[in-house]
Amino acid sequence: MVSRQFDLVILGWGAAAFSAAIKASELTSGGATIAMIGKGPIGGTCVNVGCVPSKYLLEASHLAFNPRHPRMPGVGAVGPKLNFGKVMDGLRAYVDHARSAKYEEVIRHYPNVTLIEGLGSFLDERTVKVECPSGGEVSGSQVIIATGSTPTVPKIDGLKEAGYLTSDTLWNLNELPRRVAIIGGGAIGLEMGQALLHFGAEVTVVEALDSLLPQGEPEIGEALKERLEGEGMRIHLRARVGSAGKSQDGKYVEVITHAGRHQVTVDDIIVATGRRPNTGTLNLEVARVKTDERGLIITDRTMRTSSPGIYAAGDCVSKTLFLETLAAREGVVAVSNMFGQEAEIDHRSATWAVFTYPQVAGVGLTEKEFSRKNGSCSFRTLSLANLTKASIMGETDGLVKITVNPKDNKIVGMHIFSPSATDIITEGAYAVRHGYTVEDIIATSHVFPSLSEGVKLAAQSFIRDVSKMSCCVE
Amino acid sequence: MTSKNVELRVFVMTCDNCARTVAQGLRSQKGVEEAIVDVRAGTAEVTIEDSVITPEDLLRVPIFGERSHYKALVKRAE
Repeated sequence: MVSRQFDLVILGWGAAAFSAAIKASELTSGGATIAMIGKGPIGGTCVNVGCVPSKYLLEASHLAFNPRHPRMPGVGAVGPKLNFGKVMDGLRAYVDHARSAKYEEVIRHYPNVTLIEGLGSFLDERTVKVECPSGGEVSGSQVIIATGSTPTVPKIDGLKEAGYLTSDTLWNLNELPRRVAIIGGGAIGLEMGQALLHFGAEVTVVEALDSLLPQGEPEIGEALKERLEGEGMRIHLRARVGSAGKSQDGKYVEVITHAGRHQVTVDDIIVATGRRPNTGTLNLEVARVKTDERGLIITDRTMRTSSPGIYAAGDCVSKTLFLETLAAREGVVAVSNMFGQEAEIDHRSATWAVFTYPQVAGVGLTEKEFSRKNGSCSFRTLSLANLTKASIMGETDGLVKITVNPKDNKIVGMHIFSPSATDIITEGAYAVRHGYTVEDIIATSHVFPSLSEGVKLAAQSFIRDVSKMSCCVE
Repeated sequence: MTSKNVELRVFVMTCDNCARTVAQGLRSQKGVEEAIVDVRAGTAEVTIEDSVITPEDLLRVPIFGERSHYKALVKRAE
């Protein structure tokens, strides 16, 4: 059996793994020998079956939907000719391009990095056995576990036999399903649901919790629900799917709510009920790496695991936010620490987003989270009806909510429901990370009229009633 | 007093002068009893007084600091 020794062994070849490999290469001027062990398409979830294809699909769907629903008087509705198969061909071609440009071509510039295709599992704290045709053992002075996660599928009677799609397989569609049931109303379910809705499908979402996006502000969950229902999406909260199966006219799901049971007939069922970490086959016990009850690897803020010399990064790590950007940062933090450069992950100012239209984005604590920890808080919510740019666009459904520490007026959380919320939220990230106050936001120039001005108006609403304010008041 | 032998993997050394500089940088640290640097292997064998300095502390000495272009990993400590 072949045995190879490296300075650094990375299990996984997604965002966290790439980020770690590149950081280690940069720190050592390409001197560190690095093994990256992975299975499936290089680049991991984000580029292949996550952020990249989902955002492509959403953008295409909005282009199909918005001309049919103009928001200005005098601009008539038109219906673009849709060829869904070509949209999906374009999506898959773009994913291939992004994987090639951002991963395959990039790693060719790092001759110190060896890609090993196969499933790795620990033999001891420093040695990994790789299950692949050539077989072999790989040892490293240091190890990073960055194996990512996989969609979960709940046990529902008849679901397997009926057949279903997940965020791993949706991208293989060539025909638009006329009717779709989505099990799970989280970020992934809502994004896929709105995309298919905007292309013209009838979409039913079944969510077990009593609100959408409960990790954010409840006003935003409610406003998003109203918006999606206004577009025609059927949303069942506090509901579950009792069974599924094939019917004469396609498939069915049996939806159970407080009102009883009813069947929804669909062409496709999409399961979006969450993800589980890819840690089950790693043999973590022999490496003395501890996991939580969900199988997620426990780390401290330096990304060290319970086993000295073994770090973890990305979606296999125990935490509350599972994001590509956070995974990449965790890879950098892990490598920095193994080279003696002290670094900690900052989850507090990590931004998260849901790419529906309008978008949802957040950073820091919600009003409820801060109050629970500190007893009280101060917050203001700005309706986009008060924002000139949003009014011009006819996009007044949204809001900006800022939460501050009442003791020092420092911003501790910002949550936005607005077009371009994913761009605007960076201002919130700076504010939370650096402890800016609402006065700092007010004193900072914002373009008029712009959507980002909504952040400034939300800050101004701490000191005056902005619904009675001239737009030139500073 | 207990001594510990630590093997470091040292990166970006290109010549004997680099090896001397790294060895001096290690030896100047309190708790480092000896440091033998091999430029070809890219390693440093360091003997430390482990009640004074840990293997991980060696990575944070100025010769491996953020402004230095030399960087190190702990390969073995026993």
